[in-house]
Amino acid sequence: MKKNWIRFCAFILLFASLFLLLNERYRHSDHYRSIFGAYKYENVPYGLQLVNFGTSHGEHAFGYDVVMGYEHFNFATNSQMLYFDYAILDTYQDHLAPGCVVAIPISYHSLYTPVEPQLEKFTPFYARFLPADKIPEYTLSEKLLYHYFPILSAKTDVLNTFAPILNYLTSPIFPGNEDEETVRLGAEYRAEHFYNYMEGAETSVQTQTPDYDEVNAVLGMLELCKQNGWNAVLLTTPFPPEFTDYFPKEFKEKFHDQIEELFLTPYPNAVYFDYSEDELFQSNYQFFADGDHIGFIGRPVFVDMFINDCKEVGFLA
Amino acid sequence: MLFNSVHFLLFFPVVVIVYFLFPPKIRWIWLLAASYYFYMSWNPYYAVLMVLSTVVTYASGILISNSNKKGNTRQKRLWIALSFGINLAILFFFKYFGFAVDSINSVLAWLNIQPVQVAFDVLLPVGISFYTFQALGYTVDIYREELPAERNLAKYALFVSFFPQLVAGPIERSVNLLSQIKKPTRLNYDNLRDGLSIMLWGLFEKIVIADRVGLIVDQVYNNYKEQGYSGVLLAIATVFFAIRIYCDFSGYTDIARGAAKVLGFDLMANFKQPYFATSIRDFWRRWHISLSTWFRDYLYIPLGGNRKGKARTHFNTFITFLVSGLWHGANWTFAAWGALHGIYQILGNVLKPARQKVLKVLHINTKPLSYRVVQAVFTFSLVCFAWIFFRAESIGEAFDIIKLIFSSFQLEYLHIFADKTLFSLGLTQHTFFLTLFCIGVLFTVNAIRTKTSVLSLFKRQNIAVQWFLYLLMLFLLLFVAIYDSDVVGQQFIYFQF
Repeated sequence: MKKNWIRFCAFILLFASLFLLLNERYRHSDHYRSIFGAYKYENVPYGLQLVNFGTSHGEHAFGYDVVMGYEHFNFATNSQMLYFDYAILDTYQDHLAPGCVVAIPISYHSLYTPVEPQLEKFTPFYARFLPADKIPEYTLSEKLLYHYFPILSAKTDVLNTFAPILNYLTSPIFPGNEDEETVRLGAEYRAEHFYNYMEGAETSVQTQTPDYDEVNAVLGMLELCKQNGWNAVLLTTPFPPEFTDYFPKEFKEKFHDQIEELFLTPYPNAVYFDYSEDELFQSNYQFFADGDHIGFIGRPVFVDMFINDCKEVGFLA
Repeated sequence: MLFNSVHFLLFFPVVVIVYFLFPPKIRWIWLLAASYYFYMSWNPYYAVLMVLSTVVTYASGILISNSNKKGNTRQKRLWIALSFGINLAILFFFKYFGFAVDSINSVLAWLNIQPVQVAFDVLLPVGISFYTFQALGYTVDIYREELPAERNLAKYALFVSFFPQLVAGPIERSVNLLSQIKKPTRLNYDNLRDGLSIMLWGLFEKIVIADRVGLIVDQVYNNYKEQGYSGVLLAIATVFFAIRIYCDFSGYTDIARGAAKVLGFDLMANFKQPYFATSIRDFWRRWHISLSTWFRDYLYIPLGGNRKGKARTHFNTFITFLVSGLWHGANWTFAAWGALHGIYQILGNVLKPARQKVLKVLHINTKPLSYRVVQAVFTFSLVCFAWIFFRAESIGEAFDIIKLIFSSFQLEYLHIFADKTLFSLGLTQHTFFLTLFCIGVLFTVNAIRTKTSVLSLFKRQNIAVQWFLYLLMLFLLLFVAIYDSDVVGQQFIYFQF
């Protein structure tokens, strides 16, 4: 009988050891590191002088290798909410140098898309590199599944625990330029999507009802900038004319008013650059990769423009 | 708290460890507390109903027992009628009130009369059908003097609320479970090992098979109109539903039995390879045994059983199955499902002489395995046909699906086996074939079970083989099971009853 209990305990130990080993191996696997480009957070440099956040609009606009002359990091990720922009800035604040320019892209829909319905979808991704206490409303199940034991949520990746996929660890490949017709059609389609069909925001974008989780996230970032002596730059990236024309004039006016009232009034040292209807971009379709993202050709033009604007307001030397 | 949830994963070991730390004579108190905690984790207010049912049946048990001693038949009939009346009234209100109102309103609408308006919604407490029947069975057992009334209210309360089988059975007989509650249990390695093994198998059935095939079933049944799915696909989905409901329910039962075993309790088997049945009658000896025997002992036999002539036997059979169907849910589809099984049984009995004559005339040998396989396939087809009603949202939808299956079952639709249609219904190619493989494992294990106990066979293997299989199963559950966030913690089908 004693032998049986010893065997039982030995089995439990064996299972626990194998599980923990596999879990660690998976955590270090190329697949785990590469999903959604989370690998980039493994090597965030120190002494950053220019950082950007945002969704794919910000991710494509700033690229990864076009910012010359400044220590730069692109914290933007596809569909990233302002909520997580703040969590990331808070986590990596030690990596920013004094006087760092913090670019916070705010697209037309950003302030109106509710956080709550999307948290569950995005939490597994952020659990890969953010500490558990930075991910709000983190349940015990989520902590176990996505943070401490990610192999439990690996899906088909579990089969790739031992497979090297080195090309996943290079910078994301951004698309080149589509032809003008594709950009025009895509722009209208994407604008319609943002205006009418954002998940959970089917009416709040049209009525421009701010989601206060998102608003508070931006305020949190502005406060961090103020406390740390960084320079906050709110911006809206360039879009093709078919995109911006879809939104009524009153919408754009109210959008600007809300930015002024919610962010610039309490934080007068912050600036807002609205590139959404920039003439240079709107008259050059080749600058765009698709209906709402800057492409290969437009990226250095945009970054140059942005850096010059930052210099003009004294944020960069 | 679902068995396949993180909450239960933490709850169960704590309950077991503390249970065995208690002195044996008072362990049941901890189990009672744990059982109520388990039940109240769904909704604390549900416990009020369970307490009411417990107190009513406890009191009536004592009153019936006293009447038995006095030989007062009239009085004991009164007490059992009261017990049934109160419990069934509660069950009816919470389970069938909305259904009754909807049905009445359908008739009123047909008669162009103003419908009945009800200003409230009634929530269905989890497990109410199960614990109500278990408690009522106890009162009938006392009435029949099969056991003495339980005088300890708290121990009786544990009998009603015993958490492993509380919300989805098996519906235990008082003779079996109550006697075990009164006997102190001791920590036993064999119970622990066997119990955990059975739980592991149950989780495999539920998480790896039931929840996976469920994705295909739901996709096809919920979208057959919009997507224009063919009869072939609907037939496949129906077969998958048959597998799903079996694995879901059998999985739950196995987890329940395994958990009880760990604690030192033996619960009755609820399934005995039902899809190997060679007739509908045989099917009901193998499917949801605790419920079918409950209806046999507490409804069919009191109605007269088969003791009052053929016509009355058929009537009793039909009523029993109709009620059984309605027990499953407040929808005419469940009634239709139950009625269909009743008709199957009646036809089976009526056609038996003719069937035997045909076999004799054609010199068909009924002993070979091939004959039994044909019988099993035929029975499975009949069962699957009935499952269409069980799964459909309405009678109309059931007939729609049946019509589609039989009218568009053409060769040209068999392309779904060649193109990737089957991998676009919720499972990737990988998981589809993995699931098929696991279904193969399931049927193989069930086939072995017809000859011998799989657990005993397993325990006779070398320790290395046992450990390897345990590890395989555990990792399969952990990785494949927690595969889709939509699938984690999916409710068991029978919880809705």
